[in-house]
Amino acid sequence: MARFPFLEDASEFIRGERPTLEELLLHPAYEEVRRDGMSRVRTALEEGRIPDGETRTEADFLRELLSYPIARMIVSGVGDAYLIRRYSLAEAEKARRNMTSEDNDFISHVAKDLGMDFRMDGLVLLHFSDYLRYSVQMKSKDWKLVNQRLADGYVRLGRDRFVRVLQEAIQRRMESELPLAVNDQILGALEDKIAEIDKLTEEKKEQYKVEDMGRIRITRIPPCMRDLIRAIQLGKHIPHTGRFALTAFLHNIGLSSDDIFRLYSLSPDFQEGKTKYQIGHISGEISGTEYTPPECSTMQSYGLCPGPDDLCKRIKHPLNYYRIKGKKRG
Amino acid sequence: MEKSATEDFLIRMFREYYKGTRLYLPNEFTHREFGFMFFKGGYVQRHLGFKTRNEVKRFLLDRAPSHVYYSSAYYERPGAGTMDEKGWLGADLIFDLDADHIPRVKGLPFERQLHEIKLELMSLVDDFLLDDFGFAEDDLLITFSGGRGYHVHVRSPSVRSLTGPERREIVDFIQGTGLEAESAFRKKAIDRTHFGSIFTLEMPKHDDGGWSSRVHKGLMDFVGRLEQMPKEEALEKLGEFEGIGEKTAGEIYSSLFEGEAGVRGVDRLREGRFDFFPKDSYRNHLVKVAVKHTLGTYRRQVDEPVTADIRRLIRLPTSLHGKSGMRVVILQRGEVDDFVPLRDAFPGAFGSDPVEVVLEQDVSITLKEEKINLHEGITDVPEFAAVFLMCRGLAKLSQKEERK
Repeated sequence: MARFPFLEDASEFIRGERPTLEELLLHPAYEEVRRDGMSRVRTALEEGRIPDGETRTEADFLRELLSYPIARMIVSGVGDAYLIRRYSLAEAEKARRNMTSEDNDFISHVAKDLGMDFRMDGLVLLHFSDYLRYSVQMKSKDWKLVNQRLADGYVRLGRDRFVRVLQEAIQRRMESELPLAVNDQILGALEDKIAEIDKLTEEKKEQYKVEDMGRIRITRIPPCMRDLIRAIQLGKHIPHTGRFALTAFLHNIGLSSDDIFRLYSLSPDFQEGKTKYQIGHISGEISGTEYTPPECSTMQSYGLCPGPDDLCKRIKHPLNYYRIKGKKRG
Repeated sequence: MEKSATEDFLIRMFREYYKGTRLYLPNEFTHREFGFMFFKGGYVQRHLGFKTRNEVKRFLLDRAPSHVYYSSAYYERPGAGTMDEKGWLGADLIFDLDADHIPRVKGLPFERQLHEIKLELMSLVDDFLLDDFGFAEDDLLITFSGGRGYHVHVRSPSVRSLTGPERREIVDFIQGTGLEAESAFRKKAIDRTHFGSIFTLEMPKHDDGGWSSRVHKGLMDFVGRLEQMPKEEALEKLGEFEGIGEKTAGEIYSSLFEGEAGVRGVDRLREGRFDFFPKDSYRNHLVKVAVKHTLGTYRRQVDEPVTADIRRLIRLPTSLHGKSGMRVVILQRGEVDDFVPLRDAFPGAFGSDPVEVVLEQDVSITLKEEKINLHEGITDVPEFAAVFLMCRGLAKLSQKEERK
């Protein structure tokens, strides 16, 4: 249970048995727990993982378990969207690693906790709606629904794949729960830790270079779009025409609206509602029309073309750059 | 022969229909947005919400709109002016089958098009929605659109919260878009050497589910057809596929059909074996052919933007279609087979009394099982046909009728 602190029974356990919030935050006996909570957040931020705590003795077990709410309080105290995402990703990744060594009963238990509609015996049958919800952002073709064995509403999956789907669900659950409402008592007690993570988050965002875009290959992106991405990541203002071009481009190469949204969330003048609306409009989710980015000549007249590289000279549209690069690399 | 006189006539007829009809209202209609178009004035009036059945009825009688739509989505405040303010709560899953989106029906006569689309509809419902996606018949609301196609509204709770991209995956599934041969023919390691594993391809099985089952059927069907053909014709058939030259066609043919009956390649294939090709490349060609043949046979085409749009307005069942005067008819699955739009979708409110109209061109069409051949100019037609021809822009009200 200590390895899966996000489960409902873990929080029940904490609520039922153990320290009050005040003790957890202030009592010297929980100093180590607080330190572990801090290191959960720090390694998530710096290395993209959560350290594997000891769970051999009951004391270890409790410490590991309790460090989770502390970590969440710290993350919530900072309240930064990038930090929340990175932390949730690391926690979910850790959960996936731990699940692979668990038996089917336990994996079933996790899946139930996450509200999945599934059946499990050797292979897993997962309802297609849950499958879609947690796989649609995976870009590899063998995740597409059309390539699944779907019968009677259920997708047949191997255990590893099911665990991968669960990881995604865990990450979403965590992201949706954060930030928690943190009161003055929490903010006061964890003040130093929150300040440190806040500073670290800012530094991390500074460094967060174009190379970090994850699911898409940065080497395939044409120079104009790369410049726009870099500008956002560095917190520079970009004009409306640039936002439109970039959003349409990212949408067309298959980035989900959520991922595009995340990118913009790094922007200094980020407005949640407006950004969501704009992305929804350009991707066609609101407007019903999917837009494509402007062609090269228009990009040039907007002043968004930083000067062509060799491949640029052979094409007329930024999307072709991405397609051609993709073909070369296979 | 004023245009507005024709419109006034249609408005009067539509109002007559709505007066005598118990209108269908969707579940949770107070959470739905409504939209309308009118005979006069070309704009969609949308962002309307209604609190009671009576309000809807009054609106229809007052305004006698030419088209009536409601949102597939459920909103907290359906009447709010912007999408942000509406508060999206979920949406039905909608499929739209329309003559415009099914290439093979293009250019066919109207009656024939409607028939072909009905076949598409039946396969979409039976093979995909009921079988693969496992919806219950009660989850589906099937309608004739009143125009040139059919709609299916899926109202299972499991689909309500699906996002646009998730719905697009469902469309891709139905259309076979992105289907990979490797997903049906799975690789299986048969030997491991120092250099890595040696793989063979496993035949898909008929009960694998989804497209694997279809590829199995498609392969068997294709090979069965080849077997029936004279050799020359079979070779020609194989040669039609990309990348298969004369030599390869010959090799594939002899791997399948030469040898003693019972132990030929095709016999082993029927036992689910796939290991009789002298070269992997022949096998791989046949795999590609099987996938292509399967897609050609079993994919169904639906209008993607309609399904992917989680805020779509869709025609209200039991309302009238302003470009045909026919009803948007609700159909049980069992009623679809015998449904003939041009016979069954005219509302009873439009009778058979003669109406004098002016035709802009010769018209020949079968309505309510009566063949109607009309010449350009002034002529009498039954009321329902008058409405139909006027809605389609083929006729106008005559001056004599105007004075009535």
